Amino acid sequence: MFIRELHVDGYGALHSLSCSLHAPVTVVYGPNEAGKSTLLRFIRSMLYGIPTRKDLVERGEPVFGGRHGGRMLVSASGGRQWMLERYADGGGLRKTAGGLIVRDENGAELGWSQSEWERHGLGGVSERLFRQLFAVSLDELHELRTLQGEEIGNFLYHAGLAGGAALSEARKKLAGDMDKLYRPRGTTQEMNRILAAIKETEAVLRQSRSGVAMFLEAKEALARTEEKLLDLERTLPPLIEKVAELQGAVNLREWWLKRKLLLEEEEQLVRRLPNPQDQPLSDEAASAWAELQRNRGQARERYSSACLSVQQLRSELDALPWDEALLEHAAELEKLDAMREAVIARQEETESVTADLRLLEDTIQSLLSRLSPEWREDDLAAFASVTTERESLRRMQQAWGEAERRRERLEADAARLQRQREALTAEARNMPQAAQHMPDGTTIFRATSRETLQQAWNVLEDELRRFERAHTGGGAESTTGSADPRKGSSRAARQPARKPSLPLFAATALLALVAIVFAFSSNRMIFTAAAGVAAIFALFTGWAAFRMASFRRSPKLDSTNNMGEVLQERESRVRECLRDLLVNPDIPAASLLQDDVWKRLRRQVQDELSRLERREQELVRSQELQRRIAELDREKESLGAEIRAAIQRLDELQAEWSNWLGARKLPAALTPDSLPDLLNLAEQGQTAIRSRTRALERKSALDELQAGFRQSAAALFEVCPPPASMRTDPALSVTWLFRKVEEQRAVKAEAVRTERLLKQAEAAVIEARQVLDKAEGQVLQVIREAQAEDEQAYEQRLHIDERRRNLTRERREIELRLEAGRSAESAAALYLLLDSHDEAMLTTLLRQAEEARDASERERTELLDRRGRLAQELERLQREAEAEDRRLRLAELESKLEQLAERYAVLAIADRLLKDTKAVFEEERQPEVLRIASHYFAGMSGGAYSRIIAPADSNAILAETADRRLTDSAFLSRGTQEQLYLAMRFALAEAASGEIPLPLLLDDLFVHFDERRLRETVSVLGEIAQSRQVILFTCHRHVAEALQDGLPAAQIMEWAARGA
Amino acid sequence: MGVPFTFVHAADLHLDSPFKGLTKVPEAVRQRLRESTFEALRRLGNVVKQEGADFVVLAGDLYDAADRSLRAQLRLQRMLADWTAEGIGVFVVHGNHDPESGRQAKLDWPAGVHVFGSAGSAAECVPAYRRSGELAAHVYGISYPTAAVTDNLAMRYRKQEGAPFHLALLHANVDGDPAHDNYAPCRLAELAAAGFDYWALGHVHDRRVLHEYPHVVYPGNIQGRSVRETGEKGVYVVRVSEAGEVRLDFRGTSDVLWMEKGVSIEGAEREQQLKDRLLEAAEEARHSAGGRPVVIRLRLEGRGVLHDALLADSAAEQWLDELREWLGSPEERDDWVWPESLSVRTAGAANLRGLAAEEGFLGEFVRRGIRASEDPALGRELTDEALDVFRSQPKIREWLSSRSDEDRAELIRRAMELTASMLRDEDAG
Repeated sequence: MFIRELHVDGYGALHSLSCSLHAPVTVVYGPNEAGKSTLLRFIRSMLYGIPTRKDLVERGEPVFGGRHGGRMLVSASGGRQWMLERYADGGGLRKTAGGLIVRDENGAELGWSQSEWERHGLGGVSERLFRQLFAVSLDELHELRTLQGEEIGNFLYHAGLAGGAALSEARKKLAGDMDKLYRPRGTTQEMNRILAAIKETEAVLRQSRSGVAMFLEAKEALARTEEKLLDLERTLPPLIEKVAELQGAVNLREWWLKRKLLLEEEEQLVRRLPNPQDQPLSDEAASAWAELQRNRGQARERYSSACLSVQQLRSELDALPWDEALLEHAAELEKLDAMREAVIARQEETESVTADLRLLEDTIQSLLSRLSPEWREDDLAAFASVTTERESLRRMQQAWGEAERRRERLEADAARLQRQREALTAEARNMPQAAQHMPDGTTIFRATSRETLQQAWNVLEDELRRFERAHTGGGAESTTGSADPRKGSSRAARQPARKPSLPLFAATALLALVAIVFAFSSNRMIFTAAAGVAAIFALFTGWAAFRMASFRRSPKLDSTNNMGEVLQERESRVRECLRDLLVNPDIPAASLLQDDVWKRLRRQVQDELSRLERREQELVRSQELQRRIAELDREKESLGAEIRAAIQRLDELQAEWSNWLGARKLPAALTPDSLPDLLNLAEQGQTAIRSRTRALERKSALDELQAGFRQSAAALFEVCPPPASMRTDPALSVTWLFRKVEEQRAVKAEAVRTERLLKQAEAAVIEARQVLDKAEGQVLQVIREAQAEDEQAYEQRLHIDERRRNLTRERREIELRLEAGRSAESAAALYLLLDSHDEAMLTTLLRQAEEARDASERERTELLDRRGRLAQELERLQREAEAEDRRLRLAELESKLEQLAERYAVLAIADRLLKDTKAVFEEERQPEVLRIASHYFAGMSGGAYSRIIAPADSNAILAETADRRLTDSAFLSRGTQEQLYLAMRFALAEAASGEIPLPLLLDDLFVHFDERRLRETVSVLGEIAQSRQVILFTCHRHVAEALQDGLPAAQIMEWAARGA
Repeated sequence: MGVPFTFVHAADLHLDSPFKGLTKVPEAVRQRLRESTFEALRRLGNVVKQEGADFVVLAGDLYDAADRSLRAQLRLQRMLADWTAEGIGVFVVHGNHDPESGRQAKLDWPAGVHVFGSAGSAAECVPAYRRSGELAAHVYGISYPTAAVTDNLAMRYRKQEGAPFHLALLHANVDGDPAHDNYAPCRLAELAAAGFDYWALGHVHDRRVLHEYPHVVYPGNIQGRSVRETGEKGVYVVRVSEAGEVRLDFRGTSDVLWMEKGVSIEGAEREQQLKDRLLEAAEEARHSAGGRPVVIRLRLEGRGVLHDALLADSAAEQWLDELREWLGSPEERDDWVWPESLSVRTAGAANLRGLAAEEGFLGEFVRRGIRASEDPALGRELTDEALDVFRSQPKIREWLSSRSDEDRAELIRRAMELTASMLRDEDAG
């Protein structure tokens, strides 16, 4: 790459600077502050972007104006040319996208980004590397000593691979990926985790019990158990049988003993019989015997009871006597007894009737006394027609009541009329006062009635209108023109020139105003009217004066004389009308034309009109009142006559009543109101007299009846006297006798019945005797048949035989129990066992057998149990074996591990290869760089030093002299040191940008070089300039001259100091 | 001459074998795989019965581990008892996976099963009968006393006259197959010359007939157990005619098929295309399995633009997870396809060889890598050095030492691809 042109628009102290470079070596010579270093920075900025504000020195803000930035033309291999353009305000800052504009030789934009530019134009040399190797000042030159690390190593030796950054990046990434997979002693990395899991699973597998061994053991144990079980199945049944046998013997032993006892007892019984060989009598014999005995007993009993009943009946008959005489009068007594009840009832009735009679007498007497002291019983009877009287009495009473009520009502009406009259009179008294309120003589108007006033006013209004029309008609001819007087006045007011008497008018107006104001502030009507009139006068006066003047002045008026005549006529008419209207008509007609005056006058008229109307209404009302009072008086008089008539009627009624009372011997004090009571009492009295008559009749009938009864009873008592105590009361005696007859009749009937029974009983006794004889005969026959000595012996035999039968039955039962379910032999064995062992021995034997059996059974249960457990165990083992998949999981883990190991291996191998390759590269390539550097160093030092050596195992750089002495660069003189570093730079620059040779920018590096070394260095520069552009900046004349001498083709640009 | 008879030759049952290379397995797959060796055993039983075999020879590695699992023992015992109950003789030798010395206790063999011992200087010889009772053959065999037998056991087989047919049962690596442990090494020539009519071999899991008349036969295992054991697995039904003619019929017994398929990324520009190709490969596998489930390894190969993306950390794993999702859950269908893994063997757009020709760092790097991958000694040294960090991890060390030279070369190649991709990335960016 070759920088052809530089165009600085503004950068640091530079502005609007253009220069073109054409020689391989360009020397920019100038004093301090000429802008050399600035130009160096400018070139860097053009290539890599303008630094941000963080680095103000490098940024180079323009000091003398100009746009911050510029352009640069560079040529590349193949004759291509690019124009670079960067401006700070165009976003041309370092490390930002855009801002850089690269154009090709045709001026077309290539649209490259910074990185594209660096790749295409700068051969991938980074800004950092460029600064270290290509754009060098003294500061950077000495940095080389510190650039011994990995990074510079990459830069130094692996140039060509994007400056070695990719290599560092790749190794870092590989290491990172590897670290993620595995680290020795790591725990979270994927492989570490899987390794741990595998270890764990293996441990579990190792520890898990040996399934097969357990399976075999269990199986064997199961077989052993089965065998033992079979053994037991054989030995157990006989044991159980034996136990059952012994148990049976023990259980049945009681029964066996009983049987033995029964046998013995039977033998004894047989021995007691007279004839032991006899078979026991049958069951029937015993029962037949019992039956016979019972029959005989019953027959005996019946016989004795029959005898007894005969005796009893006889004694009963003896104890039954009766009275025959009494029985003969039984029928008569019966009749009397039937009457007795009725007689007693009649007697009671007689008593009550007597009592009633007494009571009635009393009642009649008391009623009589209450009715009238003068009355006797016949009077009462004479008062027979009470009911007919009753109607006339009621009518009289009614008439009385009506008369009374009428009188009362009339009196009430009279009182009401009086009250009404009083009220009206009071109102009439107030009335005249209200009417007087209206002032009569203070009005300004002539008319005293409403109609006349109204008429007068209307005439005035018409006239005034005509007058006004005539008045205005002078100016505008029209008779139908506006009647608005205000217009006229306002027009007049607008013509100040035509108002010569304005002061006069003003004075009158003021007077009028004062009057009006005064009028308004007053309440009193009269005064108001007066004030109003005064005001109107005043206004008229003023206005008239003004008006006259204006008339006089008006040329129009002057010229129309006939018009003035009409006007005057009209005015006089108005004046007449006013006269009709007002008492004091001193108002000029013309003044009426004035608005305010007119209005006031109109209001006055209206007020007067309403006042007159009110007064008329009052008058009408007062007359009405008077009329009504007179009416009331008339009404009152007629009422008085009626009342008097009513009182008279009442007196008549009173007389009639007194007559009536006298006729009936009744006390005169009675009022008609007490009549109903009186009538009731009379009625009661008559009823009582009738009742008494009936009672007396009844009493005589009763007395007759009783006398009959007593006679019949007395006749009977002669024959059959009742007890003395009862003789006084025939009724009681009859009763007693009747009862006696009944008793005697019952006794007689009983005696007859007993006699009949006695006969029957005597027949029964004979029959019972026969039955008894037959039963005794049967008993004797049985005893004979059995060959028994007597009844007692036969009974004993029967007893013994029954016992024997019972014993035999019991024994059979026991034997059945003992032998049930047994064969004959086993039954025999049982009897033998029982015969040959006592109870204790049997129990012992049983216990022993039971123990043996229990032991066997327990063993069997245990074995069954164990068999079950073992079978389960086997099944479990089998099941577990089926479910076992740890090995499978282990295999999975191992697979995963292998996969990861493979991945890791790829990474590790890649890393290893990179490392190896790098080492080789360093070893093989370093000498090449150093060889070139040595060549330059030898040239610069004029052959004093022949070689530069950089041992791989140390950071030192050694210089070898021509005579092969090695010196560490740190110990070289400053100038030589710088020559050495410069030589290294040249060599590295060559290595780093072999493909695209970048220009070398050297900023005053030769200040410590002596003259000779400078010369030598210049020739080295000439050599380098053959392959790349070299730009030198210096402020030393001798340097510039040395370059010019050494390189005649060099272009020298001499700059003056800026800004000074 | 002799009588005609039929026998079944099976080997390497590896019952209850755990499966290699499976991660993130859903329960349905795990269950099916766990049962697959037993299912294969059941199918073997069906073959024996359907073919009317007179006897069965099992040439070693019946169990997967010296510590035979109880489950495996129970299942095998049940199957053998089934056979012997029908009068089918069973002859067994132990192999390196189930040697006699196994620590685990053993169940008894059912009566009628003959297990050859390991002792003695000569192979034991027992007669085998037809079901009808005629003598069919002499069967010879030696079991492995321990897991590692490096003697040539074949030397101990001696033919004993008296039978029409001589059948030698041997678990051995004939001619040193490098894919298998070199136990009981012997030469095919030795076997062919030993005078036996049929060498029933076990140990090698791929079925192969090494020689005819005399027949030297590996039947392979009955169920694939890892992605290294792909394709149909099964047993040989051997029919021997009166004249001594031998006819072999293969019968498949696999319950689950293992497959490996390559999928090229060449020409695939977008990820959707790659997805389609992966799915296509998986469905193809499903189709070819005839209703049986398939465990498949998909190998991404070829050169294409997706290479760099696939090299990214755990990209392959993400693709695998996605693929599993696309294929649906194995819980839902019986003929599932379970992608066991997705190996990325692709190459970038640039050829490594091309890079090696370049100057500069990357060129030097690739040159070194290629040198290491082509020279086994260098490759071994490189991988060992790179993985020195695992020296304290026996598991990984073991894995590493079991890597073949090709494996290592592949690892180195992948490392180079990765690095080249990274450096190029940086370069380009």
